Amino acid sequence: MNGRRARRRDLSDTGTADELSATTTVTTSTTPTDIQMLQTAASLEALAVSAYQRALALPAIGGASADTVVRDFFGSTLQHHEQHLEAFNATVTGIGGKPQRSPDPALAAVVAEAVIGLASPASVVALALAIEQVLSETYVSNTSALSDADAKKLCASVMGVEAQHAAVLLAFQAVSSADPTGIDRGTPDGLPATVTSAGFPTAFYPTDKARPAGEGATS
Amino acid sequence: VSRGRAREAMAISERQLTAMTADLEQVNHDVAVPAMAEAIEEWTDGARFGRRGFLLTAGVIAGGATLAACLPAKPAVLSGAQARVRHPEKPNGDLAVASLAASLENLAAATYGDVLDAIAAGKLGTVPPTIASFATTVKAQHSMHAEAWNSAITGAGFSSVTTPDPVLAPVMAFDFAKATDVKSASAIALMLEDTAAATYQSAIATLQAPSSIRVAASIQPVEMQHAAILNFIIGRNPVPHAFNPLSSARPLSDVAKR
Repeated sequence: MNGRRARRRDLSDTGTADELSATTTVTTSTTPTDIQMLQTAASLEALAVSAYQRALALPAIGGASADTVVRDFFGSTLQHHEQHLEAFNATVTGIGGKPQRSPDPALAAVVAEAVIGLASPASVVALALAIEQVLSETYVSNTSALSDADAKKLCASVMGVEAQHAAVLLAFQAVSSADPTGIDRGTPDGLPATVTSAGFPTAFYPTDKARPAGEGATS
Repeated sequence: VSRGRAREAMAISERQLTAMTADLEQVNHDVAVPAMAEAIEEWTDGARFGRRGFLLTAGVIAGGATLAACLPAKPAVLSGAQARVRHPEKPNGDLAVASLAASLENLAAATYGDVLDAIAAGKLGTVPPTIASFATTVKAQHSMHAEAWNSAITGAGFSSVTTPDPVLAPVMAFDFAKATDVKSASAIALMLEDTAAATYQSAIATLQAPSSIRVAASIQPVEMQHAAILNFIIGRNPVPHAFNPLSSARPLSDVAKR
């Protein structure tokens, strides 16, 4: 690992992003099928649904006194992932596969452990960001590998949405004591100049955190 | 937890943020750009050597500095079989999509340039530094996207697309002339970002080569991230759709007469 990569690892508050990236992957010698890729996508969505549900159960995120911007975002994003889960399973069923409702087996334990330790909004945001980054990069990677037209269209329609979730979470991390909606309320002068650029750190979306295409396939 | 406590828990200093941004820019250089260059290289190889019926003009190689620096030099001498491949008059197939995409990126970069000029001239009222920072970064990213698309086009022996989408450009100019503040200018930029994202997403279903799909797939999410932050600036839901719609996608006919 070079120094540049090492610096990137320091970006995570919880280390969960690193753990998700470093989780051992099992590579197979066969080319993953569309069914396997869709099942893996469903398993990643199931993982996200579970994590966001746990996050919203925390008073700091989903409670009455939580930051309304953060609470609304987590609630809306949970609904998105629920819809994505259903869509991936509908598509995999449509091409003759079995639906996948279990979370990605390689990441489930890592996320479950991270969820137990969630104590602050910052740690929740960091975990959610790690999950969104994995999902978006996996879909970007799979889009060029899928052969079924409907599967490809679905993946393409979802990957950018997960990237938007990541952008908002990056903005949450960056705004610190400021409020992103403060821009709309005419109080942006206190914002660091780079806050609005924090949401899109790369000109080309990376795929180095993409999960193996068949990782979440049913046996 | 109060709103104030939540903010405190997520606190990060401007110095840390600047350092973080610098690190992520390094990631962009280390990971994202080389991956893009590899996809472009694979794409232009296919076009250059006749797989899609194109012929490389001797000496033609990818354009701009950033991506060009990542691309290895290719031999300019063609074999007899390669030289017999008929060169079409203008890009077609995947390269027609690249032409449309480059024209949209040119338009976006020019529009953000107009925003920066308007800010400097005081035409948008009092503008916080974060907005100028946003426009500067996004303009640079769109220029890189245009460069990427043009690398594929020039790599196949065609001239690069340097003009904006001819259908959208007058519409954008008309709308931008009426912008008087950050919100109205941001709404115009948002329309452009939504249009680019929808166009690339639509193209993914029609592009033939996996390498060209990889190029579109690596840019589309970035346009959507721009849109998310613009939605924030305007005061809208930053992620309004669970599935990104295609309704604003531009057709290939926009650049058919190029």
